Amino acid sequence: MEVESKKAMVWLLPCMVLLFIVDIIPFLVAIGESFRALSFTLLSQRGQWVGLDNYRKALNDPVFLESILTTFKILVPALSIELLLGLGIGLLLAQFQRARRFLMSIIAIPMMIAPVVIGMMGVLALNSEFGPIGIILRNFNLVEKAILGTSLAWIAIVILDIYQWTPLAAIIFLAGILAMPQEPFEAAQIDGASSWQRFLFLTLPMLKNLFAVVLFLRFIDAFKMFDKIWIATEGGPGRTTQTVSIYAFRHGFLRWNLSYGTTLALLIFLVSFIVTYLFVKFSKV
Amino acid sequence: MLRKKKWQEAIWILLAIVIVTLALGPYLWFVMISFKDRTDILSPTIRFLFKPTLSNYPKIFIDREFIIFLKNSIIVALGTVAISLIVGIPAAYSLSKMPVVGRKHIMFFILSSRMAPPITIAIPLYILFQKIGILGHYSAVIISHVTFGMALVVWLVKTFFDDIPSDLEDAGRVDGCSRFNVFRYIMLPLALPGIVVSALFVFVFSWSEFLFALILSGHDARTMPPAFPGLITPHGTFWGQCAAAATISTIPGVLLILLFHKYLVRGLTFGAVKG
Amino acid sequence: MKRKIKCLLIVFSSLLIMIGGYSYSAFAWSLKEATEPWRGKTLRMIGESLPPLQALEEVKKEFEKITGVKVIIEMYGHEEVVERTTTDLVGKTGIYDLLDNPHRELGRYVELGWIQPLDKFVNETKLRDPNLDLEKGFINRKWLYETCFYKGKQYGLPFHQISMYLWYRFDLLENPQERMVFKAKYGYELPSPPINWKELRDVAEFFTRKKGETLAGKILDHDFYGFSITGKRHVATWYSFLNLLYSFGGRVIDQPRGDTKGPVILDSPEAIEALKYYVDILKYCPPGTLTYGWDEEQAAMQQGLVAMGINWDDATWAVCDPEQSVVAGKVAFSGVPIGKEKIAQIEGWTYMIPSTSRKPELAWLFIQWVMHPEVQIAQQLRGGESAIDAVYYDPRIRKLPYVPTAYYLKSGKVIKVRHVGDPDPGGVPARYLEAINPRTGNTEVTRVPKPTFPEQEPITDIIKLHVNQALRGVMTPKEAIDKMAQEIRSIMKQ
Repeated sequence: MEVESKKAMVWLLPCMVLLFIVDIIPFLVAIGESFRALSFTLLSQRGQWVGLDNYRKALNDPVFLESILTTFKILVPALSIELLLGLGIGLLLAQFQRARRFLMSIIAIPMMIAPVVIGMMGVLALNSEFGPIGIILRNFNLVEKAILGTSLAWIAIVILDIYQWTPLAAIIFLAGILAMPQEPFEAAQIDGASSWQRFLFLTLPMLKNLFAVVLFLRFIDAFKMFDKIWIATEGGPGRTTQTVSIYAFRHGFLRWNLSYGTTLALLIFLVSFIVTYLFVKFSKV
Repeated sequence: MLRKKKWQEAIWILLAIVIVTLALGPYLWFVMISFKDRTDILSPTIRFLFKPTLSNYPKIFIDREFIIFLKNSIIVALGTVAISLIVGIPAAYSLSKMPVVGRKHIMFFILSSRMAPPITIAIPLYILFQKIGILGHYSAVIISHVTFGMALVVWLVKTFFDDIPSDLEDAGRVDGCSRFNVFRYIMLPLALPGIVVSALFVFVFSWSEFLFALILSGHDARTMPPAFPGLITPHGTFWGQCAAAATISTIPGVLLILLFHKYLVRGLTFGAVKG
Repeated sequence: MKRKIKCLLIVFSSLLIMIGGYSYSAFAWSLKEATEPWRGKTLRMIGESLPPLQALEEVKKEFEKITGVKVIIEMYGHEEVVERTTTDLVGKTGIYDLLDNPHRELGRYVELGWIQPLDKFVNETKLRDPNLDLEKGFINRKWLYETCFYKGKQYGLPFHQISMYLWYRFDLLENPQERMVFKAKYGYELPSPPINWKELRDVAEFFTRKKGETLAGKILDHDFYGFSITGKRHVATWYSFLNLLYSFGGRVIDQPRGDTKGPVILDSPEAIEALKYYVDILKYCPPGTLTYGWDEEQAAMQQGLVAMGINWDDATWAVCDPEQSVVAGKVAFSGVPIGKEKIAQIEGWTYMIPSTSRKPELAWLFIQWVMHPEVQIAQQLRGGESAIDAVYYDPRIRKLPYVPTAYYLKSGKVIKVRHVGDPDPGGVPARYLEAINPRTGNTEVTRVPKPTFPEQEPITDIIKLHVNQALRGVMTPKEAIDKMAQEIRSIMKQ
């Protein structure tokens, strides 16, 4: 057993080394930064040691706490729809054999577009004067103003995210479905199980692990969702779409309060870490 | 697969059409924009007829050098995929099939590399890469993307390895195969769908990553995503050019799917192998 | 006799030219010689991907041919330029030899020691092109000072010098039928252009029409609006607000120059008035205004959706370009309407040389070359707004319809005057030209700087959020202004 475990380390080593250099070192630097006050705009902050001040400030910052809520407000509907829709599409694609290759490549297109561009597409399509969707919405009096300018802007962001990332879930589920062993299904059919029963008692349990993995991966990425929101609204109107990432970026890279921005980013990491940890723990992957 | 009733098949086809329309509709709209002039793009009334133009393509790819960014994007994305797989698959395998001490913790540690927003480590990484001397090279961007890509590979591929029954592996060992050969000839082919899928997503991730590519790439390794905001200017946003670049940027990914699709289907032989 | 004099004159003048030529070739400074040490080297700069910088990308080949230096111009979006620049300066990599950055970053870069003063180059004869007047060659000394100097030292040369002004559809405002209706309704002649905020509101209200109504004799197939302005939570909205604020007589900081700190005076009645006006005028703007940045505002004009707008002078070429605009030739240009002041806000991007530059002299030689009128003209024809005075004597530049007003706002000099009814859009509108600046009592334009000290970036961010909040009605103008002032004060205290 000892030997085996040592052998395993050899397989793991490259991965660990890479993570150590590219993640741990900069991460430690970042943690160090969060105990200092460094800013390129507030020049009294020249990198002096301030202990936990930044963290204290962040936890008492109502805008930061609000941005966590905003993040979940966007993330929860986006992820639930993406996963369910993705599962549906995966099952659907599994029904096709010859057309699957073609269908898959078409469905994957939104994923191939950079999020920045997805944000730009959203801005143009939803513009109430020049964008087709915006014009239609206004002509039918569904919205009075451009949706990205109202407090419903977050819905637009949710839709953009669903458009872009449902394919990811769909394709992973498809791969999972295709990798399933066939015998249980054949046996079940011989036993007279309906297709609904087969889905419920065979397909779903077998996809459980995959479902959890897709959920983690999407959650982690969506939690720090940034590019498309920044391009579409910069967190506006007001603070309607200001997610944690937008807020941390705003402090770190716009107001150039580097320490505070880094502290916020570390807290984002922490929240993501805890939530994912709980997921993993309870889903027993 | 199974016998289907006619009407059931009709529903599947209908649903497929709906899904394809939803996925393709906005994209095609944007593709159309790449053939329009600004006056047609921003027309205040919805019009389907317009005077097509090809001028956006040379403007963006030649004048704005997007052809170079496209090439860089391809190099960076493929490099990221290759390294993520080379490093990630063995890790996934050992985590799935070998007695690793603290498996759960290691898994979680790998995943956690994806959790921090890029701005956390962007500037430290910039300074680190400057010290190593790779700042502005492809390798800088690739390495920063690999840490994210690897997590995806390890987690996805491990679930596929997990589903492969251990007796299959033991059988191989009994037959006198070395660990590596078991991995190479039995495990890898069986996990292929997972590997292909994870490779695809690493590609997608690297293809569209923005902040690391912006900060670490410089002029020589600059990929496409950080170049897009440059089209939004006080002189107006160059929508036609943006659409032209976006249109072309989807092609490599789609080609990859078409090429590698058959490896996804391999999974269907799973049952036979098991028997 | 006459002929004799003529002959003599010719001989004399040719002699003069010969002497001049001789002396020039003997002592003249040449770019080729000055750049000799860097032959075969590379000069790398970063800037915003604007059409004039793209023009430079083409013109630079001339420089490369003369000097044998390779010039690489990296172009990014506005924010990306600042992000990359800062990261690079923090990392002290010395990758960039030259920066083209917004002038308001000056304070930050200078105070942190990231860029170097230029006096050592300006005073070094070996590096100094004597044909270029860096003292009086610029259109406006104050503008130059604000955009290129910090606390008395020169740190840059201007990439461009821009301001915002009023774009108006003179074909509509000067339509006889519309004028008649307007007079009947408001009791005074339709002002073309409106020169104060009350007139602007009346004209905006007057021209806001629904689909199906007539406009200048034609039936509208879409809604039409009187005015357009940006309203998105974006830096564009901050610039728009500054126009109003300055014109209404308010300021963010009490400062004689952009680099001097002073008390925060944003919470003045003038500022509240300005923001209130901003909120009110939205009634006559397209419904999507709260999502409008530069692009949308410009598009609204280009597509013939609005009668007026306040936008950048360097973006104007796109409205006058028939390929991009259905109203090309129908738009004329005036200053920002006058409240308590007749203003133009000072803005511009600046070439700066980082302290870490490995070839600062070469960078200097390059920007010095860029300041030459021929280079500047090539850039201006693609939408630049040159800071070099000589450019504005070129007939190709004078012909551009927006140049007279843009040039007047910055230099005070008049190329051409435009009167109501002129078929040609070019020229400073006579009404605006003659309008009195209540602050000074004469017709001169007050050119208002904006903060360039290091804290300006967070201040900008605060203002754009709260202006946006007021525009969408979440806060009243007074609440928004008070909140801004309070937050800015807490920043200035740190």
